[in-house]
Amino acid sequence: MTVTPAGLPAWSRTADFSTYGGHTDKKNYQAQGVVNPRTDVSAEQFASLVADAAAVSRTADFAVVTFTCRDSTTDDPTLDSYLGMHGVGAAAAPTLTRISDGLVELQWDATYTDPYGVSQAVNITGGGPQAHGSTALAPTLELIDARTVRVHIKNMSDAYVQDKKITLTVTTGGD
Amino acid sequence: MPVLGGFCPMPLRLDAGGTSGWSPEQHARLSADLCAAVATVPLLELRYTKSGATITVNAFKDQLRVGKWTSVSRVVNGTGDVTWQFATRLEDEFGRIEPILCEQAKASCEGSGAAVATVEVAQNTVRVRTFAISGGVATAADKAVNLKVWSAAGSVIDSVTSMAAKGVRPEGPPAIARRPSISNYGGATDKVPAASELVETYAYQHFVELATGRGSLYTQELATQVGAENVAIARCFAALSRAAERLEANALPLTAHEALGGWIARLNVTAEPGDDTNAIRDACAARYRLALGPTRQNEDESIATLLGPALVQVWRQEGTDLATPPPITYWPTINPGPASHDLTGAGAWLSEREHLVVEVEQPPIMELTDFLRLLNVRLFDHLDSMLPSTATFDWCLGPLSAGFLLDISALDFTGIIP
Repeated sequence: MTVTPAGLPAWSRTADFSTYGGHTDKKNYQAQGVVNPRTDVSAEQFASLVADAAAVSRTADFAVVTFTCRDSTTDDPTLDSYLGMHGVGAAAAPTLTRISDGLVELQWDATYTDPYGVSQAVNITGGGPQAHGSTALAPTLELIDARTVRVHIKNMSDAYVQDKKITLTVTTGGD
Repeated sequence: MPVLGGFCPMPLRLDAGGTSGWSPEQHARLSADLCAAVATVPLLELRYTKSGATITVNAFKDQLRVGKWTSVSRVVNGTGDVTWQFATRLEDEFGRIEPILCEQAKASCEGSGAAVATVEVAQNTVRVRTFAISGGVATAADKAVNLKVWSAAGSVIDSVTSMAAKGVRPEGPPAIARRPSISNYGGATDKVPAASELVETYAYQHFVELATGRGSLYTQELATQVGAENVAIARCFAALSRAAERLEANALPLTAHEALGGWIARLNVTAEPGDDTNAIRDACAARYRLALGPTRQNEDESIATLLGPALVQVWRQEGTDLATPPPITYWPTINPGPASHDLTGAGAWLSEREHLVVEVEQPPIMELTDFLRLLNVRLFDHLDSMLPSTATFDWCLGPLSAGFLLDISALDFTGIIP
Protein backbone atom coordinates (compact mmCIF):
# COMPACT_ATOMS: atom_id res chain seq x y z
CA MET A 1 0.00 0.00 0.00
CA THR A 2 1.39 3.38 -0.98
CA VAL A 3 1.01 6.28 1.39
CA THR A 4 -0.25 9.50 -0.18
CA PRO A 5 1.27 12.54 1.51
CA ALA A 6 -1.04 15.17 2.88
CA GLY A 7 -1.36 18.33 0.81
CA LEU A 8 0.65 19.21 -2.28
CA PRO A 9 4.38 19.34 -3.06
CA ALA A 10 6.47 22.19 -1.70
CA TRP A 11 6.44 24.32 -4.88
CA SER A 12 2.67 24.72 -4.61
CA ARG A 13 3.36 26.89 -1.50
CA THR A 14 0.10 25.63 -0.01
CA ALA A 15 1.51 23.72 2.94
CA ASP A 16 1.26 25.13 6.40
CA PHE A 17 2.18 23.74 9.77
CA SER A 18 -0.96 21.63 9.94
CA THR A 19 -0.06 19.86 6.70
CA TYR A 20 3.00 18.48 8.45
CA GLY A 21 1.02 17.39 11.50
CA GLY A 22 1.03 20.62 13.44
CA HIS A 23 -1.91 21.78 15.50
CA THR A 24 -2.37 24.81 17.73
CA ASP A 25 -3.66 22.46 20.41
CA LYS A 26 -0.90 19.91 20.00
CA LYS A 27 -0.15 18.50 23.37
CA ASN A 28 1.93 15.89 25.02
CA TYR A 29 0.00 12.68 25.42
CA GLN A 30 -1.84 12.56 28.71
CA ALA A 31 -0.14 15.88 29.51
CA GLN A 32 3.06 14.10 30.34
CA GLY A 33 5.95 16.26 29.32
CA VAL A 34 9.42 15.23 28.28
CA VAL A 35 10.85 12.71 30.72
CA ASN A 36 14.16 12.16 29.04
CA PRO A 37 15.27 14.74 26.48
CA ARG A 38 17.45 12.12 24.87
CA THR A 39 14.48 9.97 23.98
CA ASP A 40 11.46 12.23 23.87
CA VAL A 41 10.14 14.90 21.59
CA SER A 42 7.83 17.40 23.18
CA ALA A 43 4.78 18.95 21.61
CA GLU A 44 6.55 22.30 21.75
CA GLN A 45 9.55 20.99 19.87
CA PHE A 46 7.36 19.30 17.32
CA ALA A 47 5.44 22.52 16.84
CA SER A 48 8.70 24.31 16.14
CA LEU A 49 9.73 21.64 13.65
CA VAL A 50 6.55 21.82 11.59
CA ALA A 51 6.36 25.61 11.73
CA ASP A 52 9.92 26.00 10.49
CA ALA A 53 9.40 23.39 7.81
CA ALA A 54 6.42 25.33 6.55
CA ALA A 55 8.42 28.56 6.59
CA VAL A 56 11.24 27.05 4.58
CA SER A 57 8.86 25.47 2.11
CA ARG A 58 7.22 28.81 1.46
CA THR A 59 10.33 30.73 0.51
CA ALA A 60 12.86 28.27 -0.83
CA ASP A 61 13.52 28.89 -4.51
CA PHE A 62 11.86 26.53 -6.95
CA ALA A 63 15.02 26.37 -9.02
CA VAL A 64 18.53 27.73 -9.28
CA VAL A 65 20.06 27.32 -12.74
CA THR A 66 23.32 28.47 -14.26
CA PHE A 67 23.87 28.39 -17.99
CA THR A 68 26.29 29.76 -20.57
CA CYS A 69 25.08 31.22 -23.85
CA ARG A 70 26.62 30.15 -27.15
CA ASP A 71 25.44 32.96 -29.37
CA SER A 72 28.59 33.09 -31.48
CA THR A 73 27.84 29.56 -32.72
CA THR A 74 24.05 30.07 -32.67
CA ASP A 75 23.68 27.05 -30.40
CA ASP A 76 21.40 26.60 -27.43
CA PRO A 77 23.01 27.49 -24.10
CA THR A 78 24.90 24.87 -22.17
CA LEU A 79 23.71 23.96 -18.72
CA ASP A 80 26.34 24.47 -16.02
CA SER A 81 24.35 23.61 -12.92
CA TYR A 82 20.80 22.94 -11.85
CA LEU A 83 19.17 22.73 -8.45
CA GLY A 84 15.43 22.21 -8.39
CA MET A 85 12.81 21.31 -5.84
CA HIS A 86 11.85 18.39 -8.04
CA GLY A 87 15.38 17.21 -8.72
CA VAL A 88 19.02 18.09 -8.99
CA GLY A 89 21.21 17.85 -12.07
CA ALA A 90 20.86 17.90 -15.82
CA ALA A 91 18.06 15.34 -15.96
CA ALA A 92 15.78 17.65 -13.97
CA ALA A 93 16.76 20.86 -15.73
CA PRO A 94 14.42 22.86 -17.98
CA THR A 95 14.85 23.11 -21.72
CA LEU A 96 17.25 25.90 -22.65
CA THR A 97 16.62 27.52 -26.02
CA ARG A 98 18.51 30.29 -27.68
CA ILE A 99 16.02 32.76 -29.18
CA SER A 100 18.59 35.27 -30.41
CA ASP A 101 21.77 36.91 -29.20
CA GLY A 102 21.51 37.42 -25.46
CA LEU A 103 17.95 36.12 -25.33
CA VAL A 104 17.35 32.70 -23.78
CA GLU A 105 14.12 30.87 -23.07
CA LEU A 106 13.83 28.32 -20.26
CA GLN A 107 10.86 26.01 -20.15
CA TRP A 108 10.07 23.56 -17.39
CA ASP A 109 7.65 20.64 -17.60
CA ALA A 110 4.03 21.53 -16.89
CA THR A 111 4.06 19.35 -13.79
CA TYR A 112 6.55 17.56 -11.61
CA THR A 113 6.09 14.83 -9.03
CA ASP A 114 7.48 14.61 -5.53
CA PRO A 115 9.22 11.47 -4.20
CA TYR A 116 5.80 9.96 -3.44
CA GLY A 117 4.47 10.47 -6.95
CA VAL A 118 2.19 13.39 -6.08
CA SER A 119 2.04 15.70 -9.08
CA GLN A 120 1.97 19.49 -8.93
CA ALA A 121 1.85 22.02 -11.73
CA VAL A 122 4.62 24.55 -12.12
CA ASN A 123 3.44 28.13 -11.67
CA ILE A 124 6.40 30.49 -11.94
CA THR A 125 5.72 33.82 -10.32
CA GLY A 126 9.11 35.45 -10.08
CA GLY A 127 12.84 35.23 -10.04
CA GLY A 128 15.94 37.05 -11.08
CA PRO A 129 19.04 36.59 -13.21
CA GLN A 130 22.62 37.24 -12.24
CA ALA A 131 25.39 37.91 -14.73
CA HIS A 132 28.82 36.35 -14.36
CA GLY A 133 32.06 37.94 -15.44
CA SER A 134 33.92 41.20 -15.11
CA THR A 135 31.71 43.39 -17.29
CA ALA A 136 28.67 45.16 -15.87
CA LEU A 137 25.50 43.80 -17.37
CA ALA A 138 21.82 44.30 -16.66
CA PRO A 139 20.03 40.98 -17.25
CA THR A 140 16.29 40.91 -16.73
CA LEU A 141 13.66 38.23 -16.44
CA GLU A 142 10.46 38.03 -18.48
CA LEU A 143 7.66 35.69 -17.42
CA ILE A 144 6.12 34.14 -20.53
CA ASP A 145 3.72 31.67 -18.98
CA ALA A 146 3.40 29.48 -15.94
CA ARG A 147 6.37 27.32 -16.91
CA THR A 148 8.33 29.48 -19.31
CA VAL A 149 10.64 32.42 -18.75
CA ARG A 150 13.01 34.41 -20.89
CA VAL A 151 16.23 36.02 -19.81
CA HIS A 152 17.29 39.18 -21.59
CA ILE A 153 21.01 39.79 -21.28
CA LYS A 154 21.90 43.35 -22.05
CA ASN A 155 24.68 45.80 -21.40
CA MET A 156 24.45 49.27 -20.00
CA SER A 157 23.50 50.62 -23.42
CA ASP A 158 20.42 48.41 -23.52
CA ALA A 159 21.99 46.23 -26.23
CA TYR A 160 21.94 42.44 -26.24
CA VAL A 161 25.29 40.77 -25.64
CA GLN A 162 26.62 37.38 -26.63
CA ASP A 163 27.95 34.31 -24.86
CA LYS A 164 27.36 35.34 -21.28
CA LYS A 165 27.03 33.13 -18.23
CA ILE A 166 23.94 33.61 -16.10
CA THR A 167 22.64 32.28 -12.79
CA LEU A 168 18.88 32.42 -12.54
CA THR A 169 16.68 31.81 -9.52
CA VAL A 170 13.01 31.09 -10.08
CA THR A 171 10.20 30.95 -7.56
CA THR A 172 6.66 29.63 -7.77
CA GLY A 173 3.33 30.26 -6.13
CA GLY A 174 2.21 33.11 -3.94
CA ASP A 175 -0.13 34.66 -6.48
CA MET B 1 -0.77 6.24 18.64
CA PRO B 2 0.10 9.56 20.13
CA VAL B 3 3.67 10.51 19.42
CA LEU B 4 4.58 13.35 21.75
CA GLY B 5 5.57 13.59 25.36
CA GLY B 6 6.78 11.32 28.12
CA PHE B 7 4.46 8.44 27.26
CA CYS B 8 5.84 8.39 23.71
CA PRO B 9 9.55 7.82 23.93
CA MET B 10 11.63 7.69 20.77
CA PRO B 11 11.42 6.24 18.26
CA LEU B 12 8.27 8.08 17.21
CA ARG B 13 5.60 5.82 15.83
CA LEU B 14 3.05 7.13 13.37
CA ASP B 15 -0.64 6.98 14.00
CA ALA B 16 -3.91 8.55 12.82
CA GLY B 17 -2.80 12.10 13.60
CA GLY B 18 -4.80 14.52 15.69
CA THR B 19 -3.77 16.69 18.58
CA SER B 20 -1.24 14.23 19.93
CA GLY B 21 -0.46 12.19 16.88
CA TRP B 22 1.34 12.24 13.55
CA SER B 23 -0.09 10.46 10.54
CA PRO B 24 1.93 8.78 7.76
CA GLU B 25 0.43 11.25 5.28
CA GLN B 26 1.60 14.25 7.29
CA HIS B 27 5.02 12.75 7.83
CA ALA B 28 5.28 11.92 4.12
CA ARG B 29 4.53 15.51 3.14
CA LEU B 30 7.12 16.81 5.59
CA SER B 31 9.74 14.38 4.24
CA ALA B 32 9.03 15.26 0.62
CA ASP B 33 8.97 19.02 1.17
CA LEU B 34 12.16 18.94 3.18
CA CYS B 35 13.83 17.16 0.27
CA ALA B 36 12.53 19.87 -2.06
CA ALA B 37 13.73 22.73 0.11
CA VAL B 38 17.12 21.13 0.80
CA ALA B 39 17.75 21.01 -2.95
CA THR B 40 17.48 24.75 -3.51
CA VAL B 41 18.19 26.67 -0.32
CA PRO B 42 21.42 28.67 -0.51
CA LEU B 43 24.54 27.42 1.17
CA LEU B 44 25.14 30.87 2.59
CA GLU B 45 24.03 34.49 2.49
CA LEU B 46 26.43 37.32 3.12
CA ARG B 47 25.79 41.03 3.41
CA TYR B 48 28.80 43.28 3.33
CA THR B 49 29.80 46.86 2.76
CA LYS B 50 32.94 47.86 0.95
CA SER B 51 34.59 51.20 1.42
CA GLY B 52 38.06 51.33 -0.08
CA ALA B 53 40.18 48.61 1.47
CA THR B 54 37.73 48.12 4.33
CA ILE B 55 35.19 45.35 4.15
CA THR B 56 32.52 45.23 6.82
CA VAL B 57 30.51 42.03 7.16
CA ASN B 58 27.05 43.23 8.13
CA ALA B 59 25.37 39.83 8.26
CA PHE B 60 26.29 36.29 7.57
CA LYS B 61 24.47 33.00 7.71
CA ASP B 62 25.20 29.64 6.27
CA GLN B 63 23.39 26.39 6.82
CA LEU B 64 25.25 25.80 10.06
CA ARG B 65 25.56 29.18 11.75
CA VAL B 66 24.22 32.69 11.84
CA GLY B 67 25.96 35.93 12.80
CA LYS B 68 28.38 38.60 11.79
CA TRP B 69 31.08 36.12 11.10
CA THR B 70 34.06 38.30 10.38
CA SER B 71 36.52 35.56 9.66
CA VAL B 72 35.28 34.91 6.15
CA SER B 73 38.38 35.22 4.01
CA ARG B 74 38.34 37.98 1.42
CA VAL B 75 40.68 39.83 -0.90
CA VAL B 76 40.12 43.36 -2.10
CA ASN B 77 41.02 43.53 -5.78
CA GLY B 78 40.10 47.12 -6.40
CA THR B 79 37.19 49.49 -6.45
CA GLY B 80 33.99 47.53 -6.14
CA ASP B 81 35.91 44.32 -6.57
CA VAL B 82 36.13 41.69 -3.84
CA THR B 83 36.98 38.01 -3.92
CA TRP B 84 35.46 35.89 -1.15
CA GLN B 85 37.05 32.61 -0.17
CA PHE B 86 34.81 30.08 1.55
CA ALA B 87 35.57 26.88 3.40
CA THR B 88 36.25 23.76 1.37
CA ARG B 89 34.36 21.62 3.83
CA LEU B 90 31.89 22.02 6.65
CA GLU B 91 31.26 19.88 9.70
CA ASP B 92 27.76 19.88 11.15
CA GLU B 93 26.55 19.48 14.71
CA PHE B 94 26.74 15.69 14.43
CA GLY B 95 30.25 15.49 13.08
CA ARG B 96 29.24 14.90 9.49
CA ILE B 97 31.81 16.43 7.18
CA GLU B 98 30.93 17.41 3.65
CA PRO B 99 33.20 18.91 0.99
CA ILE B 100 31.89 22.20 -0.31
CA LEU B 101 32.13 23.33 -3.90
CA CYS B 102 30.58 26.70 -4.59
CA GLU B 103 28.87 26.57 -7.94
CA GLN B 104 26.27 29.32 -8.28
CA ALA B 105 25.97 32.82 -6.89
CA LYS B 106 23.85 35.94 -7.02
CA ALA B 107 24.78 39.42 -5.88
CA SER B 108 22.67 42.55 -5.64
CA CYS B 109 23.57 46.08 -4.60
CA GLU B 110 21.88 48.06 -1.88
CA GLY B 111 21.24 51.77 -1.86
CA SER B 112 19.31 54.37 -3.76
CA GLY B 113 21.58 54.75 -6.77
CA ALA B 114 21.33 52.59 -9.87
CA ALA B 115 23.84 49.80 -9.57
CA VAL B 116 24.55 46.29 -10.75
CA ALA B 117 26.78 43.49 -9.63
CA THR B 118 28.44 40.61 -11.41
CA VAL B 119 29.86 37.40 -10.00
CA GLU B 120 32.53 34.92 -10.95
CA VAL B 121 32.51 31.55 -9.23
CA ALA B 122 35.58 29.32 -9.25
CA GLN B 123 36.18 26.43 -6.87
CA ASN B 124 35.39 28.00 -3.49
CA THR B 125 35.88 31.61 -4.39
CA VAL B 126 33.26 34.09 -5.48
CA ARG B 127 34.42 37.32 -7.01
CA VAL B 128 31.92 40.14 -6.83
CA ARG B 129 32.19 43.30 -8.85
CA THR B 130 29.84 46.22 -8.28
CA PHE B 131 29.13 49.14 -10.60
CA ALA B 132 27.29 52.41 -10.29
CA ILE B 133 25.23 53.30 -13.33
CA SER B 134 24.85 56.79 -14.64
CA GLY B 135 23.93 57.94 -18.13
CA GLY B 136 24.11 54.39 -19.43
CA VAL B 137 27.66 53.97 -18.26
CA ALA B 138 28.73 51.51 -15.58
CA THR B 139 31.59 52.56 -13.37
CA ALA B 140 33.21 50.38 -10.75
CA ALA B 141 32.06 51.54 -7.34
CA ASP B 142 32.13 50.33 -3.75
CA LYS B 143 28.69 49.28 -2.61
CA ALA B 144 26.77 47.43 0.05
CA VAL B 145 26.09 44.00 -1.37
CA ASN B 146 23.87 41.02 -0.67
CA LEU B 147 25.50 37.83 -1.85
CA LYS B 148 23.93 34.38 -2.03
CA VAL B 149 25.96 31.30 -2.83
CA TRP B 150 24.80 27.81 -3.70
CA SER B 151 26.97 24.73 -3.46
CA ALA B 152 26.98 21.80 -5.84
CA ALA B 153 25.52 18.42 -5.00
CA GLY B 154 28.28 16.37 -3.45
CA SER B 155 29.26 12.80 -4.11
CA VAL B 156 28.44 10.16 -1.53
CA ILE B 157 32.01 8.90 -1.52
CA ASP B 158 33.23 12.25 -0.24
CA SER B 159 31.12 12.23 2.91
CA VAL B 160 32.88 11.37 6.14
CA THR B 161 32.08 11.50 9.80
CA SER B 162 34.44 13.03 12.29
CA MET B 163 36.27 10.51 14.46
CA ALA B 164 35.42 12.70 17.42
CA ALA B 165 31.69 12.56 16.70
CA LYS B 166 29.66 11.05 19.50
CA GLY B 167 26.03 10.35 20.00
CA VAL B 168 23.37 9.78 17.41
CA ARG B 169 24.44 9.41 13.79
CA PRO B 170 21.81 11.07 11.61
CA GLU B 171 20.70 9.01 8.66
CA GLY B 172 22.04 10.23 5.37
CA PRO B 173 24.17 13.27 4.63
CA PRO B 174 23.54 16.80 5.93
CA ALA B 175 21.52 19.28 3.90
CA ILE B 176 24.64 20.95 2.54
CA ALA B 177 25.35 17.80 0.52
CA ARG B 178 22.15 18.34 -1.52
CA ARG B 179 21.50 14.59 -1.67
CA PRO B 180 18.17 14.51 0.16
CA SER B 181 16.14 11.36 0.38
CA ILE B 182 12.83 10.79 2.09
CA SER B 183 14.31 7.71 3.75
CA ASN B 184 16.72 9.95 5.70
CA TYR B 185 13.69 11.44 7.44
CA GLY B 186 12.05 8.07 7.95
CA GLY B 187 9.96 8.41 4.82
CA ALA B 188 8.87 5.48 2.67
CA THR B 189 6.18 5.12 0.04
CA ASP B 190 4.53 2.30 2.03
CA LYS B 191 4.49 3.96 5.45
CA VAL B 192 1.47 3.01 7.56
CA PRO B 193 0.32 3.79 11.11
CA ALA B 194 1.79 1.58 13.81
CA ALA B 195 -1.00 -0.88 14.57
CA SER B 196 0.28 -2.08 17.93
CA GLU B 197 0.29 1.38 19.53
CA LEU B 198 -2.41 2.99 17.44
CA VAL B 199 -4.79 3.88 20.27
CA GLU B 200 -2.57 3.93 23.31
CA THR B 201 1.15 3.68 23.66
CA TYR B 202 2.73 0.73 25.42
CA ALA B 203 4.03 3.13 28.04
CA TYR B 204 0.58 4.44 28.83
CA GLN B 205 -0.95 0.99 28.87
CA HIS B 206 1.60 -0.16 31.43
CA PHE B 207 1.19 3.08 33.36
CA VAL B 208 -2.54 2.54 33.70
CA GLU B 209 -1.99 -1.05 34.83
CA LEU B 210 0.60 0.03 37.37
CA ALA B 211 -1.45 2.89 38.77
CA THR B 212 -4.54 0.73 38.92
CA GLY B 213 -2.67 -2.18 40.41
CA ARG B 214 -1.26 -0.08 43.19
CA GLY B 215 -4.76 0.67 44.29
CA SER B 216 -6.42 3.64 45.92
CA LEU B 217 -3.84 3.88 48.68
CA TYR B 218 -1.52 5.51 46.17
CA THR B 219 -2.18 8.83 44.51
CA GLN B 220 -3.15 8.75 40.87
CA GLU B 221 -1.71 12.18 40.20
CA LEU B 222 1.05 12.29 37.63
CA ALA B 223 2.97 15.18 39.16
CA THR B 224 3.88 13.28 42.31
CA GLN B 225 6.64 10.97 43.37
CA VAL B 226 4.34 8.00 42.90
CA GLY B 227 3.32 9.29 39.50
CA ALA B 228 6.92 9.74 38.42
CA GLU B 229 7.74 6.26 39.68
CA ASN B 230 4.82 4.80 37.74
CA VAL B 231 5.86 6.62 34.57
CA ALA B 232 9.46 5.46 34.86
CA ILE B 233 8.47 1.82 35.42
CA ALA B 234 5.89 2.00 32.65
CA ARG B 235 8.51 3.24 30.19
CA CYS B 236 10.75 0.33 31.14
CA PHE B 237 8.00 -2.18 30.46
CA ALA B 238 7.14 -0.35 27.26
CA ALA B 239 10.72 -0.84 26.10
CA LEU B 240 10.29 -4.58 26.66
CA SER B 241 7.07 -4.61 24.66
CA ARG B 242 8.71 -2.71 21.85
CA ALA B 243 11.74 -5.01 21.95
CA ALA B 244 9.51 -8.01 21.34
CA GLU B 245 7.85 -6.23 18.45
CA ARG B 246 11.22 -5.14 17.11
CA LEU B 247 12.40 -8.74 17.14
CA GLU B 248 9.39 -9.75 15.12
CA ALA B 249 9.89 -6.93 12.62
CA ASN B 250 13.58 -7.65 12.12
CA ALA B 251 12.81 -11.29 11.46
CA LEU B 252 11.67 -10.26 7.98
CA PRO B 253 13.83 -8.20 5.63
CA LEU B 254 10.96 -5.95 4.48
CA THR B 255 10.46 -4.63 8.01
CA ALA B 256 14.03 -4.95 9.28
CA HIS B 257 16.00 -2.01 10.56
CA GLU B 258 18.74 -2.94 13.03
CA ALA B 259 19.07 -6.36 11.42
CA LEU B 260 19.09 -5.06 7.85
CA GLY B 261 22.86 -5.36 7.63
CA GLY B 262 22.58 -9.02 8.50
CA TRP B 263 19.93 -9.58 5.86
CA ILE B 264 22.14 -7.89 3.27
CA ALA B 265 24.94 -10.31 4.08
CA ARG B 266 22.79 -13.45 4.33
CA LEU B 267 20.87 -12.73 1.14
CA ASN B 268 23.99 -11.51 -0.69
CA VAL B 269 22.31 -8.30 -1.79
CA THR B 270 24.44 -5.56 -3.30
CA ALA B 271 24.50 -2.49 -1.09
CA GLU B 272 26.86 0.45 -1.29
CA PRO B 273 27.29 3.59 0.79
CA GLY B 274 24.65 6.12 -0.16
CA ASP B 275 22.11 3.54 -1.37
CA ASP B 276 18.57 4.35 -0.34
CA THR B 277 17.60 2.29 2.70
CA ASN B 278 14.12 1.56 1.40
CA ALA B 279 15.54 0.33 -1.90
CA ILE B 280 17.87 -2.01 -0.01
CA ARG B 281 14.92 -3.36 2.00
CA ASP B 282 12.99 -3.98 -1.22
CA ALA B 283 15.98 -5.78 -2.71
CA CYS B 284 16.33 -7.98 0.38
CA ALA B 285 12.60 -8.70 0.43
CA ALA B 286 12.67 -9.68 -3.22
CA ARG B 287 15.62 -12.01 -2.66
CA TYR B 288 13.95 -13.48 0.42
CA ARG B 289 10.98 -14.57 -1.66
CA LEU B 290 13.25 -16.90 -3.60
CA ALA B 291 13.35 -19.14 -0.55
CA LEU B 292 9.78 -20.03 -1.42
CA GLY B 293 11.02 -21.68 -4.58
CA PRO B 294 11.61 -20.55 -8.18
CA THR B 295 7.99 -20.85 -9.27
CA ARG B 296 6.63 -18.52 -11.90
CA GLN B 297 4.49 -16.71 -9.33
CA ASN B 298 7.41 -16.24 -6.95
CA GLU B 299 9.61 -15.01 -9.77
CA ASP B 300 7.02 -12.45 -10.86
CA GLU B 301 6.23 -11.33 -7.33
CA SER B 302 9.88 -11.00 -6.36
CA ILE B 303 10.59 -8.93 -9.46
CA ALA B 304 7.56 -6.77 -8.66
CA THR B 305 8.81 -6.29 -5.09
CA LEU B 306 12.21 -5.26 -6.36
CA LEU B 307 11.14 -2.92 -9.17
CA GLY B 308 7.96 -1.45 -7.76
CA PRO B 309 6.45 1.08 -10.18
CA ALA B 310 9.29 0.53 -12.67
CA LEU B 311 7.93 -2.89 -13.65
CA VAL B 312 5.61 -3.12 -16.65
CA GLN B 313 5.54 -6.83 -17.40
CA VAL B 314 7.59 -10.01 -17.27
CA TRP B 315 7.81 -11.75 -20.62
CA ARG B 316 8.24 -15.48 -21.24
CA GLN B 317 8.15 -17.23 -24.58
CA GLU B 318 6.58 -20.64 -24.01
CA GLY B 319 5.53 -21.90 -27.38
CA THR B 320 2.27 -23.65 -28.13
CA ASP B 321 2.70 -26.47 -25.63
CA LEU B 322 5.43 -28.51 -24.03
CA ALA B 323 5.94 -30.57 -27.14
CA THR B 324 5.92 -27.51 -29.40
CA PRO B 325 8.53 -25.10 -28.17
CA PRO B 326 8.97 -21.52 -29.41
CA PRO B 327 10.56 -21.22 -32.85
CA ILE B 328 14.08 -20.39 -31.73
CA THR B 329 14.77 -23.57 -29.80
CA TYR B 330 17.97 -25.39 -30.69
CA TRP B 331 19.23 -28.51 -29.04
CA PRO B 332 22.47 -30.17 -30.08
CA THR B 333 21.73 -33.46 -31.92
CA ILE B 334 18.00 -33.22 -31.11
CA ASN B 335 17.13 -30.08 -33.01
CA PRO B 336 20.42 -28.61 -34.13
CA GLY B 337 20.41 -25.01 -35.22
CA PRO B 338 22.42 -23.21 -37.89
CA ALA B 339 26.15 -23.68 -37.71
CA SER B 340 26.48 -19.93 -37.34
CA HIS B 341 24.77 -20.19 -33.94
CA ASP B 342 27.32 -22.72 -32.68
CA LEU B 343 29.66 -20.73 -30.41
CA THR B 344 31.60 -23.60 -28.87
CA GLY B 345 31.71 -26.27 -31.56
CA ALA B 346 29.47 -28.51 -29.49
CA GLY B 347 26.31 -27.33 -31.20
CA ALA B 348 23.93 -24.45 -30.74
CA TRP B 349 21.90 -24.26 -27.55
CA LEU B 350 19.16 -21.65 -27.67
CA SER B 351 15.89 -21.73 -25.89
CA GLU B 352 13.42 -18.92 -25.75
CA ARG B 353 11.76 -20.73 -22.86
CA GLU B 354 14.98 -20.12 -20.93
CA HIS B 355 15.03 -16.41 -21.74
CA LEU B 356 13.31 -14.03 -19.34
CA VAL B 357 12.67 -10.44 -20.35
CA VAL B 358 11.59 -7.79 -17.91
CA GLU B 359 9.76 -4.85 -19.46
CA VAL B 360 10.31 -1.67 -17.46
CA GLU B 361 9.64 2.03 -17.59
CA GLN B 362 11.25 4.88 -15.66
CA PRO B 363 8.86 6.17 -12.96
CA PRO B 364 8.48 9.97 -12.90
CA ILE B 365 9.80 10.10 -9.34
CA MET B 366 12.99 8.19 -10.11
CA GLU B 367 16.19 9.80 -11.34
CA LEU B 368 17.77 8.21 -14.41
CA THR B 369 20.91 7.18 -12.54
CA ASP B 370 18.83 5.46 -9.85
CA PHE B 371 16.69 3.81 -12.53
CA LEU B 372 19.71 2.43 -14.38
CA ARG B 373 21.29 1.26 -11.15
CA LEU B 374 18.06 -0.49 -10.24
CA LEU B 375 18.08 -2.34 -13.56
CA ASN B 376 21.76 -2.96 -14.23
CA VAL B 377 22.82 -3.74 -10.67
CA ARG B 378 19.90 -4.77 -8.48
CA LEU B 379 17.76 -6.48 -11.13
CA PHE B 380 20.76 -8.16 -12.68
CA ASP B 381 21.90 -9.34 -9.24
CA HIS B 382 18.43 -10.60 -8.45
CA LEU B 383 17.83 -12.45 -11.71
CA ASP B 384 21.33 -13.92 -11.61
CA SER B 385 20.53 -15.41 -8.21
CA MET B 386 16.99 -16.42 -9.04
CA LEU B 387 17.30 -18.11 -12.41
CA PRO B 388 19.13 -21.34 -13.17
CA SER B 389 22.52 -21.11 -14.82
CA THR B 390 21.04 -22.33 -18.10
CA ALA B 391 18.74 -19.34 -18.31
CA THR B 392 19.38 -15.94 -19.84
CA PHE B 393 17.65 -12.70 -19.07
CA ASP B 394 17.44 -9.09 -20.10
CA TRP B 395 15.38 -5.97 -19.55
CA CYS B 396 13.83 -3.66 -22.11
CA LEU B 397 12.10 -0.31 -21.98
CA GLY B 398 8.37 -0.19 -22.22
CA PRO B 399 5.52 0.32 -22.49
CA LEU B 400 5.60 -1.79 -25.59
CA SER B 401 3.24 -1.73 -28.50
CA ALA B 402 2.59 -4.01 -31.42
CA GLY B 403 5.39 -4.73 -33.82
CA PHE B 404 8.97 -5.74 -33.40
CA LEU B 405 9.94 -6.00 -29.74
CA LEU B 406 13.68 -5.96 -29.04
CA ASP B 407 14.80 -8.98 -27.04
CA ILE B 408 11.27 -10.37 -27.18
CA SER B 409 10.34 -10.85 -30.80
CA ALA B 410 11.88 -13.78 -32.62
CA LEU B 411 13.48 -11.44 -35.11
CA ASP B 412 16.03 -10.51 -32.48
CA PHE B 413 17.45 -14.02 -32.44
CA THR B 414 17.24 -14.28 -36.16
CA GLY B 415 19.14 -11.05 -36.44
CA ILE B 416 22.31 -12.52 -34.99
CA ILE B 417 22.94 -14.53 -38.14
CA PRO B 418 25.98 -12.84 -39.66
